[in-house]
Amino acid sequence: MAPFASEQVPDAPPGERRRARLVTYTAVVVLLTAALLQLDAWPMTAYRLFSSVRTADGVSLTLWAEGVDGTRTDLRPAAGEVLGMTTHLYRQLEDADPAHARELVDAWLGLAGMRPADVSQVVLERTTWRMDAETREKHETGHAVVAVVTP
Amino acid sequence: MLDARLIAPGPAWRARWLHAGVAAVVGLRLLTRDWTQLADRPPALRTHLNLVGWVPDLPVVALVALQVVGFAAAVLAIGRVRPRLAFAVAWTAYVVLSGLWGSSGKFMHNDVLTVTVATLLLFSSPPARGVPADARHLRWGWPPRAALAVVGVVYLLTGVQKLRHSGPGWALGDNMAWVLRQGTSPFGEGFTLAVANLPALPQLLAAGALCLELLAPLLLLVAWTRIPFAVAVAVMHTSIWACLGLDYSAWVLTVAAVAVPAGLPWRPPWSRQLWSRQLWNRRRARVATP
Repeated sequence: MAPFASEQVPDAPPGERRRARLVTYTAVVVLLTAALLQLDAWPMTAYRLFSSVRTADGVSLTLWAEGVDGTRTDLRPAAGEVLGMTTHLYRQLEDADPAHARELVDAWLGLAGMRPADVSQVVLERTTWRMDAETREKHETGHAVVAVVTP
Repeated sequence: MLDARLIAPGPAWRARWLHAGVAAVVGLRLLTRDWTQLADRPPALRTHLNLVGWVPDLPVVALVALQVVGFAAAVLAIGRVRPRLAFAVAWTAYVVLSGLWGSSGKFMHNDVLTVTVATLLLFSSPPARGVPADARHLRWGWPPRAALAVVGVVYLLTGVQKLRHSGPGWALGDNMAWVLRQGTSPFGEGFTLAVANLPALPQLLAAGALCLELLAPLLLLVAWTRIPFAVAVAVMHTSIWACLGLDYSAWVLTVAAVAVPAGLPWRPPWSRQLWSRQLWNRRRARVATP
């Protein structure tokens, strides 16, 4: 069989070549621009996949609800990828105005099945840790309260 | 010179394969995810700084309807029933659902390559049913080449960003060993630890991945390295899944849909369509008759 048999068809309309260039080069320019400017507005992205160097040291954020009865409940959503990813919004609590912070906290409390009236405060804690290379155990190296929100 | 290579005629069968392949990836993604999870997310925990930021939060019934309509449209596009319209409908459903999925505070890269390649194809016209498989035209030549260019640039950028933000130490140091130790493998932590603690293996994995990413445009420029590139990408992303549990199957399938038809040196015999050749010849004869 001859490779790429060449039955020819009539020439492309005049606009076809222009359209081909416009679409191809626009797509490439958009990709390069997003990478250059470090834009991440889905689906535009800078394509920073695992681009930072990992070491034994790391940081974790934990959001605790402190009940009026003194109990502490981790508010990390337990089920589903979509809800699990909302933990990446924890850091917004650091800079959020009080009304927005309360709105966020109420949403996480709702997911945990807790009523704001039963909670005295919600605390965001940052923990730094160092991982053991053999056991993968994380040893705490630092601890700080980042934000406190009263629901 | 590059322009002449990008904007050139190509055979109808290759454009059809690309169109059907990307439609199949879109259909598969729509089918295999539980989109109803989106209905459980409180409005306060959704981010809006993206392409679908304007889309309201959807109830379960609307999410399922989008999934069903999008999947059916993808099947129609593969079957070449109103393929351009069907592809556009499948693309819309896929972009809305996967955009909403990635609106929970973390940028999700899992679907961006498929969305980007599929967006290109919105502007192309797949060959009509009557066009013989080996007919050549600019209209069917540029989409496969544009898709190759986009895939090449995307992989190049992933490699360049590693060098830009971390330098060669990304591959040469202990970085990959710590990535592995901190990941969650579907095969258990013993597997990840064993790979991470083998001498030189993490560095070899990192260097291999970085080389593949940086060389992507070159490997996709040359016809005979396109299929090996698709195989190497499948190996890389499968190893990421095995070690870290991250699902980049949409990237693997999209690269296969783009690079395999473009890498085949000739049309596979099973894509021959005598009936469509006869139809095409009759149509040409009619046009030629004064």
